[in-house]
Amino acid sequence: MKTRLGKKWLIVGVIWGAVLAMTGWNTLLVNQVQSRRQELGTLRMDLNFLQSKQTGIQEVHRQQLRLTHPVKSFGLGFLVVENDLKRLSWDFGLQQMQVEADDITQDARSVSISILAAGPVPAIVGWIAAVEDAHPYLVIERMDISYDNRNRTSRLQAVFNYRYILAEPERMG
Amino acid sequence: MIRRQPSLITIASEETICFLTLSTDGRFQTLASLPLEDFLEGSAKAADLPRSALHAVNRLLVVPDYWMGSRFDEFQARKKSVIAAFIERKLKLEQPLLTQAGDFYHYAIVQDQNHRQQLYTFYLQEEIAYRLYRRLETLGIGPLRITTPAQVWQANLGDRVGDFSSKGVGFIHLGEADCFLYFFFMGQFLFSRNIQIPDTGGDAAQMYNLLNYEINQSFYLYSQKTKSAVDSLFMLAPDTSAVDQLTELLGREVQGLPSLKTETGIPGEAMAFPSCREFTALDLTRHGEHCLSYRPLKNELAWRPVQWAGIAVGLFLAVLLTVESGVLYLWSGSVDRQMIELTSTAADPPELALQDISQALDEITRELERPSGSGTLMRTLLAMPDAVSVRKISLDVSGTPVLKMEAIVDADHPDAFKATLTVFLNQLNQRFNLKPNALREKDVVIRLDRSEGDGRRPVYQINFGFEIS
Repeated sequence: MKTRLGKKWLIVGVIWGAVLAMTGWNTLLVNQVQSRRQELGTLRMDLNFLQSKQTGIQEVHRQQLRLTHPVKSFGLGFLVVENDLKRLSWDFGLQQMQVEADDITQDARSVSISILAAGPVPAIVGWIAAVEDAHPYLVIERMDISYDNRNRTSRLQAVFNYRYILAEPERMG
Repeated sequence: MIRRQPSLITIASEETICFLTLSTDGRFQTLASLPLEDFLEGSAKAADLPRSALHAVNRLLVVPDYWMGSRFDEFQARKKSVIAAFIERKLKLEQPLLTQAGDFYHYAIVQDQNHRQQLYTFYLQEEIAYRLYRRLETLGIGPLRITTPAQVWQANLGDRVGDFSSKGVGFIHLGEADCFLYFFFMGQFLFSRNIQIPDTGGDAAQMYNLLNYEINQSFYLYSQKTKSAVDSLFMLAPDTSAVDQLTELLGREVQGLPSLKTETGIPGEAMAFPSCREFTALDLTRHGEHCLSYRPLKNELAWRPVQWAGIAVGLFLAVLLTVESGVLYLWSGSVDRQMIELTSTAADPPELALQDISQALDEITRELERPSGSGTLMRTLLAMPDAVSVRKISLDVSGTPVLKMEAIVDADHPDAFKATLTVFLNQLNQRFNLKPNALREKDVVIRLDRSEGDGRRPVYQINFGFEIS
């Protein structure tokens, strides 16, 4: 009889051990499910946000793309930039425009461009405004405008940061 | 399937031991009947007992009345541990040879006619009873409870007789060849007697005279033991005329009890126990205070409801938790499926898309926060009064944006210069929103240079710089 009662305690212990283990396991599962449901809720909200704000997001990406100049190579990109800057300088009546790029390192995504020009201050200001408006990927790092009282002219010395990205070559065929 | 273990009831006399089982229809069946001494000596092997007996739960062992002793003690305490210690000490003193006497007793607290608390104890007092218990325990069928015919009658009469626990009761159990006399005091068994009825050759009067004599002797013994008289006398007899006869002979009322025996009574093979012949299945299966148990076993039995409750509640919870676990698995699977569906419809993972947007916004914000070159120049030029001419403007935005300026102020005298400078600085403070760190005259380096002019008119050169927020 003692053995039977002892066995019964063993059974009680095993059952309650299992109950405790299952409680722990279920708590773990509940936490997992809760966490997954939160993830699902977040995912839904993200997708809803992405869907509802698609136009705004596209605009953001468009604005971001404007901050970098997509080029096939740096040389080609720089050529375009130099040409544009000089064309603008003519438009604003600036003279002696010099555009030089610093040495570029491999995998560089931005290069400093030094610019020298001469002309009246309003023309310089207009030129800078036009550059900033037309070329957001050219960002001013430093700029000195000095006025030569004798020659009655101003000189611009500026360093622009030219940000570019090498575009993937188009596939043929 | 959980099969309930069959119940076994064991009845022992001086010569025989009988094993009964209770069938599903409530009838007793004899499994085995063996000579007691052979059984105790082990010459009646376990094989002599049917397999069903050895796998049953021995719920009750009925032993002859005299195998158990009883005593009344005036005792005030009610605390169980104090009572147990008192009884065990008494039993060890009275029965020094029976080392296990302290493990086989039962007690009840009663009040006598004078409302004094009495401790009634009954216990195993015969060595053979201990031997029998040990033998049964060895075979794995140790009885849960041990009782005597007198104790069974005590329980039975307790149900039938009003105020049984507060008066002296005598009970005559008359058979064909024998008669048992039981006496109870304050609802507890006091003593019993077994009277063999001699063959009187059909002379009933002689038998009743004998009974009259023996009963009166018992009354005397009763009065000696309890210092009180028997209040009520009950009788169970094959025919009702015996009740009338004894009433007349004893000169006091004897109340007849209807026969208890039904078809559920103990079978014929067990009739070797005449004191038990009137017992029914109900008498022997109900749990009452009329039994004693092996103390350690009793303690364990007290935990039995807890064990069953523990098993039942545990199983119930286990089932609930299993169901919960299943539901959680299904739920988890459903959530996973929904996530897979949602992510499969999106071109890029949403978190990557959001990261891209965040990065783009950061980049745009950074650019917007940088002072524009043309804007800075315009604001500076617009802030300049007419009397101020720029010599040099330097803008450095590689780190914290800083604007440095050199200019000439055309003024006839220092007061005019000061006024112009103040206007200029105020304009700059306003246009560049420099209120927290506003430019003041002390921040400006002023140099008076006469060499640049015509020698008479002073040239005020100013030089300063400030951070653009």
